[in-house]
Amino acid sequence: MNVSDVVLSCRVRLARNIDEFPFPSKLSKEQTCDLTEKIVGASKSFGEFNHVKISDLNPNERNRFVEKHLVSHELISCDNASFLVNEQETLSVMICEEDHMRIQCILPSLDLYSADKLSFSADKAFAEKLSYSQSPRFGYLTACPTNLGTGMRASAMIHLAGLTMAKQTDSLFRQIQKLGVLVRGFYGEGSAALGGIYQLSNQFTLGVSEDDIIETLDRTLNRIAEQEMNIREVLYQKNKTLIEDVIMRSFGICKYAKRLPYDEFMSHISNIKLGISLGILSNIPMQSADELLIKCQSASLALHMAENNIKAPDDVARAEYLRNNFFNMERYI
Amino acid sequence: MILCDKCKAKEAVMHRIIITNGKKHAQHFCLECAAQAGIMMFKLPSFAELAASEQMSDNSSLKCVCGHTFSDFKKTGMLGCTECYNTFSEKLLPIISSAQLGRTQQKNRSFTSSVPNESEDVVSLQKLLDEAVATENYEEAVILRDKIRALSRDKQEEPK
Repeated sequence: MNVSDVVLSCRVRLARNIDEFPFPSKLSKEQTCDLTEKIVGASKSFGEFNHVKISDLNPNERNRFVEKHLVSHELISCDNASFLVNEQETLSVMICEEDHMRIQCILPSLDLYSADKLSFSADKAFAEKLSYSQSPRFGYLTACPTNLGTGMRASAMIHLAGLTMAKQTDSLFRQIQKLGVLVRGFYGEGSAALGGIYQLSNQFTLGVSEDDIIETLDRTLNRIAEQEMNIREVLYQKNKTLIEDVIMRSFGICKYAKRLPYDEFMSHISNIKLGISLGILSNIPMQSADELLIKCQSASLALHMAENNIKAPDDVARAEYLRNNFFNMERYI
Repeated sequence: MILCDKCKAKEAVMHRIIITNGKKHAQHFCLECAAQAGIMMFKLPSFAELAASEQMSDNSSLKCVCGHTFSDFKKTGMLGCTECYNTFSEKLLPIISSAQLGRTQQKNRSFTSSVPNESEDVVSLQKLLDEAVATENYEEAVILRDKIRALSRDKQEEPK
């Protein structure tokens, strides 16, 4: 078992605003166009980006980008907003969300240092073409003072199936909150932690350096991942039949169910991921389970149905997708 | 679902155990009945609540060049432009300090501009401390007092 069995992905997000423009809530339509053009123009010096306008997307297409964690819920509800995304979908820039720019880098597993490096190289390239709003005291000026200073929000998605089973998450979260680490659900602020998946991020952005933020979060995540891996082994050794039963039941349901509501799917995929890491479902690559996690979210599923002309309720389509695309493969048993 | 002991209709969300003469007795209340009974609820305020709880004073009608007022900020938690930080600086500092664990000076790795000198910082911190004491915001005051002490100590040690 290794850290990538526990940490799904990590992200570094930088909030930046451009001088001479008010914050997005005060921008006129013309100013938004002007600013967007400047940002898109500046991106050309850094690499190939696809510029996607929110107004060009239907609701399912909008939500699919949220489900991939490439953009936020707030961005897709704003018709004037847009975003830049590279081909690998590792780097994206939200334009005119809460701030003028939100540069973000997402990488699989726990690799915050690389995410930091990549987002900062993009940041540096933009800074050469655009004049950022900064002050000697507060650093990067942001629309909401909770992002002042570094404007940096580093986070990771961590799967705590073992600690959740052992009911140890509450005391753990109390401890890490003292270190300035925030715990949220699967889709960030205000969302539920379905399937034992949590988002951990830095709480403070001012009076700390970017290096401190990355280092603290990386150290905390490594420590939690280690605890999670240990507890998985202990739980399995002490309750072999019980754990195998839970995992195989989830596998059976995903393989044979005719309808699968979202919440139920999340708890089964959590058990399947646990089974893979313990070697009980050793033939399934963890990457496939992680892909399923995204593909079986509502909007991604709705787009798959539209593309393949499938007309069925959400939970029926989800079960069918699992049966046809994944669990029909006998080699997984 | 445990029902509220008082109204017996809503779900109980507050639970307390009272020990009288060594005997345990559990009580369960819904939010409304708990509030009516005056039971303390410990909850960290959100940033918006923090902003909204800021006392209205004479300069609350201040308007920034972008048209944003401090009331707008209290409603949304958002500022209108970078100039808002100067316009509302006096009222914003305690809020920023609370939201950022008492820190009000950036330490960004890439920042090249000059940092304001320490004596200036001590003066502005002292001003904030006086304000915090006046508004009985003692948690904030303790953080500010420690910061002033630390800064003064650093300064004394410098010439050695």
